[in-house]
Amino acid sequence: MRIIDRSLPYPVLSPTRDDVMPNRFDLHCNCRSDSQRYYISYEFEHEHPGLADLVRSETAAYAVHVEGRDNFYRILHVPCRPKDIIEIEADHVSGTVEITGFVVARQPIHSYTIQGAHPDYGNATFSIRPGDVLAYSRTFTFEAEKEYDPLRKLSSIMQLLHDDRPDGPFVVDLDQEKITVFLSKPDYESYGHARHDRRLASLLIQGIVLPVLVTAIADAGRRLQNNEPLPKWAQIVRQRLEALQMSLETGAERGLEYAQAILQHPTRRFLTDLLRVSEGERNEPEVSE
Amino acid sequence: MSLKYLSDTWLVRLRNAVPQNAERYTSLSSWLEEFADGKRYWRDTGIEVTSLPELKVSARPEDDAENAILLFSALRNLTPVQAMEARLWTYLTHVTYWSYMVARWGNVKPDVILDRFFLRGGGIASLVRNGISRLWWSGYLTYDGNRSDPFELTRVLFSKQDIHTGLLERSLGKSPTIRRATLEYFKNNSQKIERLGGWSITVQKMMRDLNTAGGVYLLDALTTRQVHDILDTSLANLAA
Repeated sequence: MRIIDRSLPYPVLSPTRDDVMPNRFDLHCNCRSDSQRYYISYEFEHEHPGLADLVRSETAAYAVHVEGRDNFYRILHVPCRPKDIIEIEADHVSGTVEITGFVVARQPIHSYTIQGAHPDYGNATFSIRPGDVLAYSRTFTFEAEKEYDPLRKLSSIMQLLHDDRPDGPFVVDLDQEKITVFLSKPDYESYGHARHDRRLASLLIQGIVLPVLVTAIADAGRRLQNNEPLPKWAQIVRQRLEALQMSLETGAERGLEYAQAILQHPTRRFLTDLLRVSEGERNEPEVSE
Repeated sequence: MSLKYLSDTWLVRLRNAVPQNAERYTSLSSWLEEFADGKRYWRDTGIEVTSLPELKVSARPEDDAENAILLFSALRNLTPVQAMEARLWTYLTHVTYWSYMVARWGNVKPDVILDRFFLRGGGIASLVRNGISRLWWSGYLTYDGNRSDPFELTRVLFSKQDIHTGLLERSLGKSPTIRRATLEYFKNNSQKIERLGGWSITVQKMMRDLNTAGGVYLLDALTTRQVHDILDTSLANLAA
């Protein structure tokens, strides 16, 4: 759920606003999955005694809102415990899932005030209706992807396909929903064998994914600078960069740095695997004919 | 029979070729075999279905509703994740339901073709604009097994194109509570809305007001009665 910052008629506790200070209201989340479900462990954290009292008296309740960004999944869990696990059927969501924590009113509150409210509110009191938001957290996101693939973390933004060329370098199409890499037919066949071998994942990433992602980020950065619409893959890259405190707007200049950050610095893994392969070859007994 | 889908390669090729193939999107017979030039462009999903229904060709809202009920009933085992697959819906629009698609949505404008025959741009709007996936998703999102007619709200959804667009192309239409409450409201207040003169403007205004209310309330936390109160106020303002 993308929360649009509005000027609400009453003070709301949120780390994104200064209505109520200190403005600490967090929802800590952790997501794991098995073949059937995603399990989101969450815990609310705040230090506001007034809100805690409202929840205790059932005048308000903790709520966790779970929404698929690009699909129809949208569920509000209310009332919620301050700490619990939410389960989502794996075949109900895919792509980016957004989780936001709230405190919402469950009963009318006729003279609402909140400790720590901004001085601008003075001694004003407010009439709160059921459903009114009293506090909200920042939004936590995770990528719902089930399929095993050495490029798993990237499967929502990149796909490798083949064309009919008998030979030649790979080519990239950046105008599709996903970054689309076309390999020649024989190269794709080799890739087909390699992709299922976890030991080769870092080599594939270094050899194909890294250079393609550098090119793609630079292209997306230019599109952004020219106010051109971003394809879906670029929107996802933008979000991933934002989570790393990086801006796609400078992607044209800093593509190499950003691609390595998204891939969690692949070169060390690549070199480690390369040494392992090299060691393995040296240790193999020589075969005499 | 097993449901089929387009391979990744052929989905990209077909989508990229829309400008060159635009004239073919009014052709009465499917040309995908010819386009693929004997190559295998499809894969099996492994999802077994008894048969796929014949869809009625018309632009009448009630026929859209019946088509949605037929298609969703036949593909009820599809999971939401499977039903987000561009490869599946693009296969169905270009092969299985080609005749229906050309008769209902046939056009030579690339933008319209991409909207109706493909999933354009991803996101929920693309799912309710593709000529076939819109039927399945409309059935899925409005089916209610607790009603004497489980598809009662499906019929309300399709009763006016503006309801379909206004509700399902907005994020608030994703919430089961809001969706159900809004459709019930339109069903119970259709005469009042008729008297105001135009469904189109009225529905747009009401959905806008509901969306605005979402800036103050957590809409998903509201009761049906509260959603109806917001819509009542919106309707009263329009009548004033």
